Amino acid sequence: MTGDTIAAVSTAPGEGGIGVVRISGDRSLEIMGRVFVRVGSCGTDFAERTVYYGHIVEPLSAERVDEALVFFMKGPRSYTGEDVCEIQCHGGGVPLRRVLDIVCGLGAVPAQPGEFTKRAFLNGRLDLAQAGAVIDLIRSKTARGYHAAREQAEGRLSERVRAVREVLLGALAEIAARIDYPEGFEGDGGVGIGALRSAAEGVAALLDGAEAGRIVRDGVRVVIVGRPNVGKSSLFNALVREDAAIVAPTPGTTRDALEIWLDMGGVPVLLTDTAGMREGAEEIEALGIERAKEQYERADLAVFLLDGSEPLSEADRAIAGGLDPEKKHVVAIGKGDLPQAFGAAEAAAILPPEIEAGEIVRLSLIDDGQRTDKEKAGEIERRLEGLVMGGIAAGSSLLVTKARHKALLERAAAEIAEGMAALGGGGASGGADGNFAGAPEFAEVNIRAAWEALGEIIGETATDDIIDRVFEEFCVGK
Amino acid sequence: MKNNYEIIVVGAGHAGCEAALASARLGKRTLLLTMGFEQIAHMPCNPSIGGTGKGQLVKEVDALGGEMGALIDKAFIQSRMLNRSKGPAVWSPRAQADKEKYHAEMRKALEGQERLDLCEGEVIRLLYDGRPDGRRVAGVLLRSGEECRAAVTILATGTYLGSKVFVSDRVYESGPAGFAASTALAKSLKEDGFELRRFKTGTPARVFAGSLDYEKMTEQRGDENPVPFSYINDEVNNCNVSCWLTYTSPDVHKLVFDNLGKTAPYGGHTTGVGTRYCLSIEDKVSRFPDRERHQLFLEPEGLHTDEVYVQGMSTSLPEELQERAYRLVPGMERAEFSRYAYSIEYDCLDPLTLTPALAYKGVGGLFCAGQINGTSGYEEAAAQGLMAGINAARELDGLPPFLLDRSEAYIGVLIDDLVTKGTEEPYRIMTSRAEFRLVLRQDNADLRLTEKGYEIGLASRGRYERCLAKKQAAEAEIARLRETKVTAEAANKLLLAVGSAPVKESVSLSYLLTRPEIDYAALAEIDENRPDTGKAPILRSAAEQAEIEIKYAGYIEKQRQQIAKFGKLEHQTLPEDLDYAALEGLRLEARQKLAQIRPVSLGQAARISGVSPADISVLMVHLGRVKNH
Repeated sequence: MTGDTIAAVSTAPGEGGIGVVRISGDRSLEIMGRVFVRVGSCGTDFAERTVYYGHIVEPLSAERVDEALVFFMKGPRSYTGEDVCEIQCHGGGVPLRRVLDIVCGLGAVPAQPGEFTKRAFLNGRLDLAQAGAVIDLIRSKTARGYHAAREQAEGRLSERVRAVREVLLGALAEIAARIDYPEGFEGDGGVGIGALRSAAEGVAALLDGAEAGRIVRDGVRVVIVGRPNVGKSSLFNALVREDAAIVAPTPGTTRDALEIWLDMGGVPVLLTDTAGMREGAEEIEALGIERAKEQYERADLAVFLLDGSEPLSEADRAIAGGLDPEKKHVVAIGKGDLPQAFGAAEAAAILPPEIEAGEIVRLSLIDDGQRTDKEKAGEIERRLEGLVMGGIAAGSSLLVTKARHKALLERAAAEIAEGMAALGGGGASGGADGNFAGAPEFAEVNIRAAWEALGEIIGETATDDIIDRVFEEFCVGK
Repeated sequence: MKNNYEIIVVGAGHAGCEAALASARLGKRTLLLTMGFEQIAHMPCNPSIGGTGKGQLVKEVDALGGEMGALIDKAFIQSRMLNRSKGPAVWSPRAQADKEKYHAEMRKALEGQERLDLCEGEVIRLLYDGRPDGRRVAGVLLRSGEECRAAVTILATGTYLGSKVFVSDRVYESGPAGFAASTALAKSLKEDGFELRRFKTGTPARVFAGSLDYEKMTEQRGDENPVPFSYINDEVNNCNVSCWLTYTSPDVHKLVFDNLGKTAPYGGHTTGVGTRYCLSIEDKVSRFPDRERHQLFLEPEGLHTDEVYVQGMSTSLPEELQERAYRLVPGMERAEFSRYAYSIEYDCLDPLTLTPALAYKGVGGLFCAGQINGTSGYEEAAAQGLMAGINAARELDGLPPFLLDRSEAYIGVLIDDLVTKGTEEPYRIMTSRAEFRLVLRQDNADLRLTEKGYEIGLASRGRYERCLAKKQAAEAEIARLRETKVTAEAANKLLLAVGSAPVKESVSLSYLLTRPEIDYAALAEIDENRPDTGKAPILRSAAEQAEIEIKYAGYIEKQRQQIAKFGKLEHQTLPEDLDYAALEGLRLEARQKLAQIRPVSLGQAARISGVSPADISVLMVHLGRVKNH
């Protein structure tokens, strides 16, 4: 009866062993089928109430996001009474958030507070005695949501959203005035294009902030990579000040990635120690290396560690050659207490030219009786912190932290682009059909949709604004 | 003697005439009362019908079986499709009317209507029938002392109810155009407990065409081949009398500005709420002081009069200053006045007191239509009159009300706005008010509404059959355009000639039609088997439908999806006797608003200001509870 397919993270926020993303509605099975790849079978049918193991995959890039267990409950035999899919993946903000983003990208709508329960009631899955509780739930959650919305309304986010809406309102009013009072205007030219361009920029800036907001909310992934036995685990321990990783002089000791959450300037950072990468490792070690590569791919930042006491090797060069120019790196030469076999210039020379690593850091963790390990690793920590905070600052000082807001901003951006095309101002490939240049009544549909999407973020939807604006700005009518 | 009626309509303006005709056509013995026969379907302001949004309303009234479209087709002296430079979704027909002819044609229609009696008489009081379940209107008392009884009364008092005319600091009781005001009825309605509010409007002076210098103005011609308003007409006369465009000047503005204190509102003489939709010249110069000029359209009032309406110059300046201000306008230097401008205040109701069927909520047996409901405009009035007439008749037959929603018609937008949101100024329809305007077009009002009009017994069989024929022909033409393929060579010859990108393979005609450079007419040279629209006029409108549906398919489909979503809430009805005070979980403001407005559906509830999405959730849960029980 309610139409949309909804999705939400159903487990409590914070760190947990597993987390659940729940999807409810007619399209839930279809959406799950598109994000889940089963292990050991290429089947895409899901039997009811059967657990499947596999991976959640970003459908466009085919990137594996997480391991997952999924199952399907066909309506009406489900909590909400509709078709429901549940995806159990690893707990913690990052994987759950990514899975929810992907599911919403395929057309699910982020659920309103209490919406699963409301649907359960409306579909007759809860009895009469529970109806009162449902109302309480809607009310209390909404009150909390309202409170949160108001907090944000006082912040700069709503100020910026409001500014963009104001620009769109101006364009809508002009289009409305020209359509409803065609005789009041001379010439048809260039309605609202400039306004739309500026609105598009405003939304794009807010979306940049969404990425930074994700960082603040979900944290940054940092990995330490390097060939075996260069001192990665020592660095890891120095940064976390615990003997969390086993340190031993035998190459290949770290067979699995070790992870720990750190706080850097208020931002959660997931630091990962990885197995050293080299060719020709035996089977168990090779698995660790495979995992290290995956960890590197998922990371936002990486520390590439070299061993200053031995000449640069083929393994070092192979790792350097595989670094991803999209990521930011800190390059360090360790074992600075031993005689050095090469200098910073030689180390820099093995990096591909497109990798920006800044100045190479020298590191010595040997006990000098004066500084703690943490202090010795201080330069690396400062560099990482600079990159973490810099990444946020570069995004925007405005943080869009909610998936729902991000989805609404993306919708607004797409509608504005389509509206610009309809007005003949470039932008997307074209209106709904690709060719309505100069048609303000079609552009209006898009601009209004963008305006409403932005209004949902700040909780304003009144439509009379447009007509008020027409008569404030234009002297039209008889 | 005047007691043998089922429905009485008070007032024979644009609302009252449509209400009375609809009521009589639906089989009800109907009495239409007017204070004077000269006032029947009179146009006290612009001599024109239609315009943006308004033109769509007229076509909808026609599609349902109303009268306005057919009459303006007989009485127009110029007709134009506005917005032709934009897409068909916002095309709007507008005609200049011969006022006298329109009035005469309506009078003929009323007099010729079976079961309808037209009678002169001033209503001074409503009669009531005290019942255990509350008061019910039982008829009306005339100034003559005569009582007219009927089960339902429709009030369509226009700008006559308690009306006063203002010119500068002079105020006097008067209806529009010098006709008498309905003062006694206004007084008795207040005594009976109706809460009335004061709205205001104004009209410019009329001048004689012979005193104008059109050489200094720009001619405004109508269309060479006017599109009929009525779907029953294939073609109409091609009368094309020009209007003339001129402008105010800084001199005019200065004179008005210097004398603002001598106008009624700025001098503090009026209290009524005016409309932003037609500003007086004093409002224009004080609200838009930077504008160097404002447009003025000179519109002839008919074929058999020399009077010209000066659109854009309404004012309540004293007569002597009116003459001076008008004569500063280029081309009007020697203007001779036949009537002076005035502003007029009148009593009306808060439309939140009405149901979507336009029944008054507090008292039984009473419907209201037109300016009494807070609107302005002949077309808005006609649309409400038609709906009130239909619903009054249906109430007597014990049938559910006939309602149109916002996705079906401009009529639905108009009435929903009034009864859900209310209005704080005289309300005018605009296409911008219609969220689904891409499908609410002037070209398809028949396809949207005629079947409904036929089902309720108002639209004639002949009209319905015409509509079906158009629908079938349009569907056939869409299918033909989709199925007919042309070679890439043939297509490219056409595409390259208009500067559109060539194609590589053979394509369908419908594909070519989606190119902005190609319209249906342009396809003719490679479309050998198209139906000969010259033979059957219905094929012309069918081809037009096919062209629009194919060309704008993407946006139309998008809008249809929005309508489907809209319909989900709209079709969940709320019980009439729902006790909002007892409903747990509603916020206080929502509770009060819901109890006052008593929405008929969840969709309507959601549009009430002060009702939040959470309140709607609470209502949904309540509905679920009732259903599950």
